[in-house]
Amino acid sequence: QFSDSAGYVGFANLPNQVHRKSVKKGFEFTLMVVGESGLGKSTLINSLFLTDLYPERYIPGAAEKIERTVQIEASTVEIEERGVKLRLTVVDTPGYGDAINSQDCFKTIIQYIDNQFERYLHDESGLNRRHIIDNRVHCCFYFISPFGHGLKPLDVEFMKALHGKVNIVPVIAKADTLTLKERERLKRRVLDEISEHGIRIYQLPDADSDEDEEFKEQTRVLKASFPPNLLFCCSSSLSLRIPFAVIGSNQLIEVKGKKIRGRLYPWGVVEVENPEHNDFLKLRTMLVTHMQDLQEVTQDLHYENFRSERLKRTGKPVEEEVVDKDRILQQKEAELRRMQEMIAQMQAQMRMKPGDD
Amino acid sequence: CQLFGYVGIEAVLDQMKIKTMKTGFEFNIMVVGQSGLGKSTMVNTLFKSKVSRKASQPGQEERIPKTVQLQSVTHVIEEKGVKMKLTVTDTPGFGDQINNENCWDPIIKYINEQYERYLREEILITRKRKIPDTRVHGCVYFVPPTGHWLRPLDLEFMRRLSKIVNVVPVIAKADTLTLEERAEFKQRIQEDLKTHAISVYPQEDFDQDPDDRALNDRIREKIPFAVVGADQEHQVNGKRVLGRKTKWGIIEVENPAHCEFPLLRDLLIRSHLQDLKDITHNVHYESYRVRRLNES
Repeated sequence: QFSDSAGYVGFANLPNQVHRKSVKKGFEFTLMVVGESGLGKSTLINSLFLTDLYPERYIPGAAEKIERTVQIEASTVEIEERGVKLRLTVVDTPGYGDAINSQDCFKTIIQYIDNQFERYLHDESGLNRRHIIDNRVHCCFYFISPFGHGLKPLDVEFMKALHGKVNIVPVIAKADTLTLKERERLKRRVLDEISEHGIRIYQLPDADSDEDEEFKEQTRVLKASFPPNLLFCCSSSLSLRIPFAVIGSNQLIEVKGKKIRGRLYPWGVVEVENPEHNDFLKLRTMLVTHMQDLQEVTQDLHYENFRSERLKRTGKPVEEEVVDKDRILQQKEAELRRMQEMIAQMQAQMRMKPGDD
Repeated sequence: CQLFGYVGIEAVLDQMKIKTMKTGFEFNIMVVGQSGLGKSTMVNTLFKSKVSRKASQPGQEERIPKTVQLQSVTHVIEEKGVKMKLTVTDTPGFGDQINNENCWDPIIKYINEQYERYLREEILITRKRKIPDTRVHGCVYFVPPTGHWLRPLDLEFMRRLSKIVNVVPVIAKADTLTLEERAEFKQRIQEDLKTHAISVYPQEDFDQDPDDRALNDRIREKIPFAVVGADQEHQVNGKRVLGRKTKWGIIEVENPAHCEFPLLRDLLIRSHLQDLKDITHNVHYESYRVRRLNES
């Protein structure tokens, strides 16, 4: 494999080395899922990762919902495929948008994301940096209702508040309620409203002709470790258009002699993995081939923003603060000693001089 | 008292029929629900004509208003010589805001205003021969097909409104639920309504006789109806049907195996239309009247 032709140095082999190390190390990925109750979030997550992340699921009735605030529930699974390990954490946000007054319903979410950044910042600034765990949220699937005509006021407010903290990927689930025309119309409306409000959603790296080569190189690494049917036409990255309109299901239905995942209706069967029916495969491909990019953007953009804001506030970087404390302590001790000496001197002087009264 | 010959009393039925046909009648229906649940399409499908507020403002892009608006559109439609003056009141903005507290107030106000209007006419010394009836005879409430439970907003709204108007809840855009999911969802909704003592139409308390009760019991078992609306026709097995065409099949709106739209239509128009009006007049309006007269 190593060509011995003149001029060949051999560092072109680097991607393979990176690949091998990554396979050994495994990947960590945190996906946050946000949206009103009943939009198909849990079903979609289970469908994407072919697992049941919510085995003892209990759906609360309205009376209980009235009392609740937004909760944060994180579940972690270890998925392994062809020797590649993925430690996937799904962060759920039950209660979001359920109350009659949803005014502050995303404060808890913002706090959670900031807390993960804070923790990472603290670990990164610490002395032992060998085992930093990255629990930062790398991607947020925001579920848009397929029943509306576009974005709701709550959707706009949420995305404006969070587009500077996390990669937002808008998703339209339960897409089987839309005809093809309605789907296109909704997608267009959503994109128009997103640009109208200046919301920055996650941008897929654009594919020019030469970037296409780079993109292919990056994905070849992943391709080698995933079974062929998982990757769906990477080179046409332009056709991966956000927001994706998807259907989720883990139920097997017999269609033309084969068992496939779908939903059975009196008027027909909706097939999850049929690209003519919905964008499920595209969403899965996008997620899987862009996991790396999502992590990078989180690190290079969102985390760095957080870090610089945070440090500007306290005025000095975290490590110096620690060292300063020691110095301040020494200074205070010296001062104390000086004061004690002064008092001793004064006392001595008073004893020597007789009192005037 | 037994009749021993033919008198001709039954001829009164024909006279009533002819009179109704001549004068025509009024029917006022209100549709409530979040934006995008298919309210306007449903109304058009029900009356097989473009009678919704969107029909009178074609091509306008749907924008969520910042407060709840009430928009009424009136049309006169005719069938086999019978004229109906149909008024549809839509409520854009309901439930769409971030803070939806009290979003039902404008709706309650509107309904009471119509009762007030009627009352004013009724207590005049010289009354009109026929008092114009703008009172809301039925309020169709659109529940989003989450498949879970009723939301706090749904409960609050139905609890308050069922006390002053006939509320008919429906599961909107039901083509996203499989038959199993539909049955489970309905059961949960029925449980929810019972737990919160919300009395939707047809109310058990107003069943007049055992026949009524039997008929209405059958309807109550199926409420809320899972409906799908459509305003386009497609070719199915050689026939033109109203439906929604998707890659995986055509959802026929008037096919009872597909959705319960026919049940809703039968209830609102074919069988219980007069009953809706009677209960509005004899029960809801009377309660309002008693309250008002006691106040003054």
